[in-house]
Amino acid sequence: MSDRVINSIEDLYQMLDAAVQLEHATIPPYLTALYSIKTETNPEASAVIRAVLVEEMLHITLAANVLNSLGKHPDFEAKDFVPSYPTYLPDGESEFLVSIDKFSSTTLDTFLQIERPSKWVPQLDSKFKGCVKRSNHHVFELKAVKPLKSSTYSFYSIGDFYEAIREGIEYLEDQANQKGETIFIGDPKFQVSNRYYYSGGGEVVEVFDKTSALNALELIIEQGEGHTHQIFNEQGELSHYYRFQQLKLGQYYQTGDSPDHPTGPKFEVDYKNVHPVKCNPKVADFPDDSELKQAALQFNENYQAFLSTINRAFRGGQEELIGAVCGMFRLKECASQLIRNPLPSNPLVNGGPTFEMRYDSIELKAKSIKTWETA
Amino acid sequence: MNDSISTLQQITLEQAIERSNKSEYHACIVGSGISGAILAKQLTQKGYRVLLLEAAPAKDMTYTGFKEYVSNYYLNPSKDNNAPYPENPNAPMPRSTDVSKLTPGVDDTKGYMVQRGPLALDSTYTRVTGGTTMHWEAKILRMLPEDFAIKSTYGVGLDWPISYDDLMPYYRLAEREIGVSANVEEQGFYGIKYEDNYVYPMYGLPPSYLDQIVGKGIDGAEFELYGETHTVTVRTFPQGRNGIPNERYDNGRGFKPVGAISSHQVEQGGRCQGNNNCVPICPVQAKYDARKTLLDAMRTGLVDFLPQAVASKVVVDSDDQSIKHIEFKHYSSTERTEFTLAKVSASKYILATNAIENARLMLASGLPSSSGLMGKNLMDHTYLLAWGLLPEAAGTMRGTKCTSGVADFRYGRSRSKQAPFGIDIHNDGWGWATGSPFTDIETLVDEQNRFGKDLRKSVVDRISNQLLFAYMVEQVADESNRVTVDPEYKDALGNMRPIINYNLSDYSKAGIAYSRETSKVFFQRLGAEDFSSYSPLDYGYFNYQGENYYFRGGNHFSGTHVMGTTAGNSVVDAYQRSWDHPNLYLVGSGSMPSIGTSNTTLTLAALCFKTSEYILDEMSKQSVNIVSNSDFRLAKEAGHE
Repeated sequence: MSDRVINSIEDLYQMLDAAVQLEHATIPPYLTALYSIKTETNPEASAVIRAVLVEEMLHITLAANVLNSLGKHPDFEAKDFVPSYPTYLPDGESEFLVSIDKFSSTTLDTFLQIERPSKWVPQLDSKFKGCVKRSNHHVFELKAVKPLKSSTYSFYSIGDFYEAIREGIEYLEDQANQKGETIFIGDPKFQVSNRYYYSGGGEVVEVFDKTSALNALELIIEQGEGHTHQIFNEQGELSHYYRFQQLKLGQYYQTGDSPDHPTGPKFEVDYKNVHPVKCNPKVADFPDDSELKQAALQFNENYQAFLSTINRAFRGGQEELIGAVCGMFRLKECASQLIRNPLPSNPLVNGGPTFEMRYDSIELKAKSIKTWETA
Repeated sequence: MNDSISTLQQITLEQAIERSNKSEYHACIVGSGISGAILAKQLTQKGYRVLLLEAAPAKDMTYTGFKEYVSNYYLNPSKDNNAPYPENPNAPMPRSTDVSKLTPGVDDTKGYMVQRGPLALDSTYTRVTGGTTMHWEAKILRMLPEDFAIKSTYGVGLDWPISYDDLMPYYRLAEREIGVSANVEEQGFYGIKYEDNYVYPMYGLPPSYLDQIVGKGIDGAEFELYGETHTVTVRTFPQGRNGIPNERYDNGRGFKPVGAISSHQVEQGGRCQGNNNCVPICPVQAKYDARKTLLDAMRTGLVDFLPQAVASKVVVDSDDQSIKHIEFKHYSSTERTEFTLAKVSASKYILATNAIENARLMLASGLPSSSGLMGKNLMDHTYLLAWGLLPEAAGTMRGTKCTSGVADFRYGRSRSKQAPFGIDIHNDGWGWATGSPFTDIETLVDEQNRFGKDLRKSVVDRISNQLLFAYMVEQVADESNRVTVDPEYKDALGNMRPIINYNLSDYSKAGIAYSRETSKVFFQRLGAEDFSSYSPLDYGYFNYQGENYYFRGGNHFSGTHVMGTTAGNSVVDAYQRSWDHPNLYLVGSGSMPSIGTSNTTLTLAALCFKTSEYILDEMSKQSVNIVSNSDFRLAKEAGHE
């Protein structure tokens, strides 16, 4: 019998914080792949990537709502909140690299790997439930992958990570209830509601107690991995893995289909109508004084300011989400400037957003927000 | 969850004929626009089986099909209302780009509608699945109570056989179906009233920055008109597009917005993103279109949807004047004109093909109605445009086409002398008037030799201050404005094309002239430079009391089969049932005896709910074996009944 991962409320805060970071980590790769597709081509691929992308945003919101319900808030401005790409994610006992890259057959394989349903493992040889011992533990950058500051253990899969959170909530709330208390002491006004958040991949669950917290987590797991290889969840929605698999197979799933055998309308994915974005670009790749470098810095400043807006939204200012929609259009425009233009040093490869955040200067950050508001 | 259905219940011609021969159809509906879709939904959700004939192909019901429309629009050098929709000679549609200045006495046959004049009407409608809601602007106003009785109150036009109060509950149903975004407290003016505690399905969309600038300038302006003071207030419009759902809707159950239509799962069509090309096409399907209602109907499994079927003749039983069957031409491809002539029958027939096509089909069938009014009293809103440059950047091009306007000239005593009007503040700059921004770029490049960064900056500077007022002027019923047919003018399938006789009365012209006067005051108050000019070379040109004007059509065709109190003064009764043919309904804006100063869609949708209630009541008296299965119950829940 292995030990519980979450044993204190601090453990739970840390895990939910990690969940928000983890859910966000897929956004830069999905966003770049989506924007690399040439306008008006590949409508099927665009629609699928976009659908998954907005559901990841929903997952961030759900995880943040759970954290807020406990009286804590997520921190989108924290150092290392945005990982450096490529970054490692666990895949059972091994791991794989997630890159910022153009849409391609390889990227699609990575996306499938990110969203792959967890394989059931009868008995993990681990001190902690759902965890495995990894010899290369140090390569993982995301907090979600290596809990409790353990130097050797990491979760077997994302599903196991969420399972640990669920177990922690059950345990801690039970402990609190026995003392006539509750862990759900957060102010309900911090809950982001459907008023400000709908049509973003499903309905937000506002979290006030254990039941709603578990419902919120359930939705994240169902939309992401699907349950026990079901392609549709209870609401009749396709899980991410099977959404992406449609692109691999060139055919849509429809109600009644079994896994790996879609029978809906067929279509073709066109990997050629894609801008040749440089894989894992860095600002340093663009020559000083080049327009690409300026655009890359501008994108990063805007992205950082965007995260600040989201941060305020999850700290009682949810009406800021409406303005954040305009912010997303601005990011798209900034990303397009990079994605559509070749590197001066290699005309066969185009620029791309680097998602490198600056935490070294508070002054710069203040400036970036100002730019954001007046841009 | 987004809308998704695995099949579209399309049937083949042979299946439709077979079921028709077995008398399986309770109703045959012609046209899948908003009127046909509402009737189909209401009837099927009560368990009745419906055959829906649609002239267009049906790929429109897929997400990819819709994206093709969006793509067509982006690629099409012309950005007119029908730019997204492919040419289909078998079901052609009018395009404003076909309109040119008429030569007196000469029919202009360039477009699908033959223009006989004396004035050329550039209005259009869309013959695709979903009808003209596929290009509508989605401003969705109720009519004023006084609009229903303009003859008895002001001595002009025609009265309705029903009042605002009669239509009020159906307005509510229509606003639910379309998912209207508006705030009651901002919309209850000049007699418009609501049930106690009524809320719209969604909160009102915010006014644009431009609206706010204009409001600051002209709010409170007073105009003396026939002894009454009209005080100006800029107000937002109710919109048929997704905003923020109102949690108080439906006794606190809230409202669930409907997203993009697709045969597989997509995550699109939620909230309006403020794209400026909602006319003709909303790229994310946040704007309502009739396919959303059609899908609800199809979910019942009781709609037999037969696309590529162009109704060509309504055939009457000479014994009792009831409709015996409908003849239609079923074509196999938009590339070819070969067709199969077929006929289908049902208990009830509902013509829902819009005001022009309904009348055209009836006249082509030799059915002018006993009143002789079929096709007559053609109405449309006439638009006068006035455009100027504001002294400051006002964020032109931000937001949907039109978010606010002025309603203070829509009512009152002056209506006995001149047409009333509503005013739209356009967020798309001078686009409608001058073809901006495309023409702006031509001018900057060709005449000012600008390029590169300078060109980009000049475009921004030139457009950011643009202001366009569009005056939507009421037109009252006039029998000489009409639709007719003539065997001389036929389309590719051999169906007679509509011929339009159109003119403006002095009553209309006086309203247009006064609207121009108000624009001058507005520009003055805003410090805007007036650039409006109306050339005698323009196809909509007319001169009134020495001044030049032009008008533009409003795409609000109506009045061609007006409702009334007797078979002598109208074509249909207050339930849109033909006086002459007991099992025939002509539905849509064609039934409206007046259109006031409201865009017609909400009112025609409300009328269709009223009609469906009447038909259901009639059918329940006649029918004994109504299909009722689990699909139906599911659909009923999905349809938020």
